Amino acid sequence: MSGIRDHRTARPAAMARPDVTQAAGPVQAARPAPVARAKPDARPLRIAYGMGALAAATALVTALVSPPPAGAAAGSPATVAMTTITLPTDPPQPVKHVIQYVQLAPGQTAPPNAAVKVVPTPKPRVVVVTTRQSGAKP
Amino acid sequence: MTLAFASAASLAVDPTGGPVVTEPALVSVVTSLMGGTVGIHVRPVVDGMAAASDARRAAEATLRRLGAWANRLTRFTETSDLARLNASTDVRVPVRPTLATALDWARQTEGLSGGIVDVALLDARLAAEHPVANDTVSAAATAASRPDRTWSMDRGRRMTFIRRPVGLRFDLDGVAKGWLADRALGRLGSFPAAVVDADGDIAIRLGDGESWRFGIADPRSKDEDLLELDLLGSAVDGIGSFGLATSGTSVHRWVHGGHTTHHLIDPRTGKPAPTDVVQATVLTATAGKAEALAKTAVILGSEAALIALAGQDVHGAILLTERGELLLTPSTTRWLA
Repeated sequence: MSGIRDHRTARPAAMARPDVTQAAGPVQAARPAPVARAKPDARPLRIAYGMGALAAATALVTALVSPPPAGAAAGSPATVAMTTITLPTDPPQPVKHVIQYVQLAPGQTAPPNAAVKVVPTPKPRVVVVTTRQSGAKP
Repeated sequence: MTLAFASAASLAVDPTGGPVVTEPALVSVVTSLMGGTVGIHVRPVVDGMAAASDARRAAEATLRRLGAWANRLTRFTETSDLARLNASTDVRVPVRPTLATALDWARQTEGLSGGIVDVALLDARLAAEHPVANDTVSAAATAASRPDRTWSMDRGRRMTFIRRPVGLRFDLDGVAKGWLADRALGRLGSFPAAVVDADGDIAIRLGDGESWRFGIADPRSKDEDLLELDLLGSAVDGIGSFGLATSGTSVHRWVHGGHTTHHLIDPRTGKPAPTDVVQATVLTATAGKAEALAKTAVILGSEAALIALAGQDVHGAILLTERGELLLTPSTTRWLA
């Protein structure tokens, strides 16, 4: 990749490791001063993420803009063209509205050639209620 | 108040041997009230014991409420609101809401009937019933011819006042019955069909497709009806509420000294109406209106009644004359069973 380095993670060369050759005494006696623990290098993982995102974006764009394979979807412009060639004599089919039934309000008449069904009047429920003069025995 | 409860599921059997169809039960609650018989008939929302039980509870509660209203409007008990109004010696008397609303309806029936329905004729009625009974009634008979029967209502924010000449007494009678039937029916709006029979004045509400049959009593026969009507609730026609009421001269009828009188007083004379109509039945939108128009038809007599009914919004009318004629308005034929 490029030679750009992240300033937050790049270490100066002088601080990379302690210079053990400058020690005056025996190595066992000179306890090295504690230094900041080196962080792992993030660049490989970033590169991997970048590659993955690029692959996903490429796949998405490809799916959106590329034409479908021939005959894959009925009703697509390609399919209509093929149908027209195969059956050139078929007239265009008009949309057909099928009215199965209508309920006629009082005063309305049925359309010509319509089959008229008379809805049977509900059978009256016989109720033992009689209007009578006030005070008369029911 | 004694309640009689009946619930019957009617079965319709297919004559071709098909399946038996069970119609939802009809719940009926009947009691003695207002000097007669009052019944409430309700069809539950769905079939089943739970639905029937709900309908029965609603019908019983409505009947109890109707009884409470009636007890405030009767003239036969001294403690009723109406009796207190009649007994008051004040010109301006406060009345409670139920009586105020009933009197307000009575005022409307006056306009509806061209002044023929008049609830301030109690003394005239008592005079017709007991012409020479005692001094009190004689005084009442005198009062019957009182020219001043004007009364008015003052509706305040909390109380309504009736202003009338001291001694003017009211008798709501059938006016109250029709009004009560309509009011009680209003409490049964959740059911597909309901009927409130207030001693012959019937308020009816039938849902779309509900068809019920009603009889019209024949005053000449205890066993047979004069006619039967099939009433149909129709959403298309916008018809679902009916009022069916009957008035006549053959039940409350008295003979004094070879002279026959009855209880329907003509306010123009203060005396029982000389009429050729024995009984009138009116079918219209509400029981209150039907009762008022039926009473008007009897008092006016057949010829004037048919003219008056033609100007009213009625579904039908049936008049029985003393000559035995049965006169029907043209629109009545639609409902004949």
